[in-house]
Amino acid sequence: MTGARIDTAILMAYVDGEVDIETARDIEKTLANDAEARARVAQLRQSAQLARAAFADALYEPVPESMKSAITNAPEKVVAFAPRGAGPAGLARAGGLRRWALPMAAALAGIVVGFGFGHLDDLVDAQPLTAVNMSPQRAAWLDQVINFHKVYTGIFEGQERALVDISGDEPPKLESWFGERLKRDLKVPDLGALGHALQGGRLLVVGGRPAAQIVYVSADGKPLALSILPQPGRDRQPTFEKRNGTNVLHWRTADYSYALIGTAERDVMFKMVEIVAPVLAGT
Amino acid sequence: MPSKDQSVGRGDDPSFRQQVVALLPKLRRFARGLTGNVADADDLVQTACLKAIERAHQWTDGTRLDSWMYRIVHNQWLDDMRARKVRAVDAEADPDALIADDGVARTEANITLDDVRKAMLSLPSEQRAVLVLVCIEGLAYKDAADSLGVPIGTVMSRLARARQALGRATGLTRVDGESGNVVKLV
Repeated sequence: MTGARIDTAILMAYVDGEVDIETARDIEKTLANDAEARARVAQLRQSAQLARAAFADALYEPVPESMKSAITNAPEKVVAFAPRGAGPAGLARAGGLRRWALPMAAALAGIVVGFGFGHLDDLVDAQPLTAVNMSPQRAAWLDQVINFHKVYTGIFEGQERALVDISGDEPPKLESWFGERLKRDLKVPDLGALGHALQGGRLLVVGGRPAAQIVYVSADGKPLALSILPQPGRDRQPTFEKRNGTNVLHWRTADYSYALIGTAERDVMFKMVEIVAPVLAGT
Repeated sequence: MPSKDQSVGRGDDPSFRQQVVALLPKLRRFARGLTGNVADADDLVQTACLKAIERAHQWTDGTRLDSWMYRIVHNQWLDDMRARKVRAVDAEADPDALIADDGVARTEANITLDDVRKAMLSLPSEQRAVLVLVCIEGLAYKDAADSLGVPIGTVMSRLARARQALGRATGLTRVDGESGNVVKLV
């Protein structure tokens, strides 16, 4: 594969995991010396990542009970296909605008997306529909931020970059950006002492409110998110749990809920909170 | 293929329906990618699921139920478009006509997820369907081809064109050849 321009169809199949291992190795050898091909691979990956990110939230929305009930209880042979919106299917319409609220709000809140590289395969089996069982407020917000973390960084696990809106190269800029949106002073904790480098941050919308996820990456490429959500309520001590397939340490203080989410072990997370909590509290 | 005796009544089988219900999140996302809005997507999914129950005997044991369901959703969508005389959206269509803009001003230079959705909806319908199945639903080319009833080569050509168009529409720009990062979509 030297000299000739590698075919885009082959690169696309490579990006989509449709080539065998030997072909993949040949392509990777070519990519090592072909910046133009690397650029095309990047664009192919980014187009898929953009598309997936744009519709990611749809997986986590509760399925309307009316829809589940209609499917569960419909007679097998007597299924009338009413005009769209006029029959059972139309029951879903009432909630339509509300269900767009998250993506639209997220977009209009100025969520901008930045992409690194990674394979998309892991996201296919991302935890579905944890939102269905969200009834306690705390569980709801935790599951949402965990799912966001999975969507935006799970696919990049092991990669050098995670999916962030604002790079962590300039912490003051990050602090200013999030501070404006959360309407608070925000200092970004430094977890370098525990082997985690600041990657950047992304803005989420949780329960209609802006929330921040500050993203770190361990030396071996494991992403870790520090989630920050304005959430009035009584203070809660840091609590560790394995939840939704990941490790979580969460607490609440001064009307803000916080959660560390990632693969770091319990003792590491508790060491982290000793660093993080005072910084976030401004003490 | 299942025997006639086995197939008749499968639509009444609670386990079959449970499998269909379990697919709803993915089907809704697929439909949303096709229709561009939640209400139409949910109508489409529900109609397609009811049709699947009615035709449950046509599903072959041992094959992927999700691919079969995607096909029903896709075919239903095509039927709906024909019935409603809705033209397939072409590249010249105004994407804003498909997803209402609430009038909030946005910085033109920003690429938001909303922009991406609009860009996807500006794609020709056949390209959009392939893009959603492969890039969002994660289907292999073969399964996408099965779902859409087209050859794998057609899937690949449509997918390549869709990606190119999406890249142009969203202004993806490579800024660093060595690292390959295309980070700033601001």
